[in-house]
Amino acid sequence: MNDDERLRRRYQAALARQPADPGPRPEPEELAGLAAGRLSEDRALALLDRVMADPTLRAEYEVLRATHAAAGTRPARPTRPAGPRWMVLAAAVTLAAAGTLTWRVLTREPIAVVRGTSPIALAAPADGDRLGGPIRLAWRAHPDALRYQLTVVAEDGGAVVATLTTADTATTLAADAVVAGAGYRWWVEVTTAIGATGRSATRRFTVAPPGAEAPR
Amino acid sequence: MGPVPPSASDAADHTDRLSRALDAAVERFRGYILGIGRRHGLSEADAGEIVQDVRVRLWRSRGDPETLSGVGSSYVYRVAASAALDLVRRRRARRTGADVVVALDDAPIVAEGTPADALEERELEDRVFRAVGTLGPARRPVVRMHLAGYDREEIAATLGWTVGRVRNLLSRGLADLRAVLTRDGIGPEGTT
Repeated sequence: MNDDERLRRRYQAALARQPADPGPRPEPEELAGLAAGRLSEDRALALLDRVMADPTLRAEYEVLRATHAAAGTRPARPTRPAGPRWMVLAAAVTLAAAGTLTWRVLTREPIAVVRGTSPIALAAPADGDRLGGPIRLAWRAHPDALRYQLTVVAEDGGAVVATLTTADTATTLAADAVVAGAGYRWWVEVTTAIGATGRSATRRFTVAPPGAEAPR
Repeated sequence: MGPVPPSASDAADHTDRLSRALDAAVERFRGYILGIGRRHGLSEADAGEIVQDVRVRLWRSRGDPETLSGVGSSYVYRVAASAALDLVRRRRARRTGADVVVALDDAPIVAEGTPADALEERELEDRVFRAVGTLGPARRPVVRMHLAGYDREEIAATLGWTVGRVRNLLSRGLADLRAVLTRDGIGPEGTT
């Protein structure tokens, strides 16, 4: 066993005994940003230092790192092309899918930090619509969306009457979620793969009382 | 004459083919995750959980298998990234000691001989760990990754650096570490 191996094994043995850092843990999204090479260098170094000294964080990081690497999404930085190994693996996946799935390397420009993404646009109903029957809310797909969070609140008092986390771009409210004659406000927040978020404008609608003229 | 609509058997055959293609791709994906992560402690159970989640999400979100042909790389990436993030969140939500997976390239050093030898070995390990913590902020994470078992290419990929830059910082960092250990009375091979 050489010098380097001895150091490694001793370090790893001590690392395995380290308690989890009691301080605030980095968010999983930030660890994902580290795995994808999307953090600024200073932040990446600081976070790596912590991750590599905490066995629990390191295990979490490895889940995210291996997934990013397997998906062919190694860091795409201008100074360094993605490793050819990943490109070969990605190409093999594409062949395996018989041309129906394309699993290729993404070449996203790195960003300095995780931050807000572009806002999301609501589709229907229009602001101020009066609705009857099943109330269906729809919004435009965001190109980088991981998931959407819909929130519906009562105009009177602001109570949350419905929330939904979904990958879809439309949903129908449960009939008992709203009250005829009442007004509501709703909006959608999008979360991207790197944890950036964006929020739509707020729209309002009212629920037509029974027997009222059927709205469009 | 207009186009002939596909028969039910044609549609079923198409669905089967897409299903097989998806299964094959997802299974390969599982192999890639394990191939990349196992050396650093990623368990087969974790890889399997992520891959199963990816498979389910693809089917659920796309619904009709016909549309699987339109699934793009960015979508698959998002699904996989989301599945991995959710796995980490679930682990945090039900944090137990069993969730901690620690990578060791090989079996740790086990001190032979008396309990005193084992105690001495453990003390030595802790001194090495503490010594790493004294390194400069740019070199320390690189040395930590190296000692944790990551190779230079993996370190370079993580930091977006060239391998040459990693080699340079690692060399300096290890030299610093050995100097600290020497001052602490620990020899070049980590022996007292």
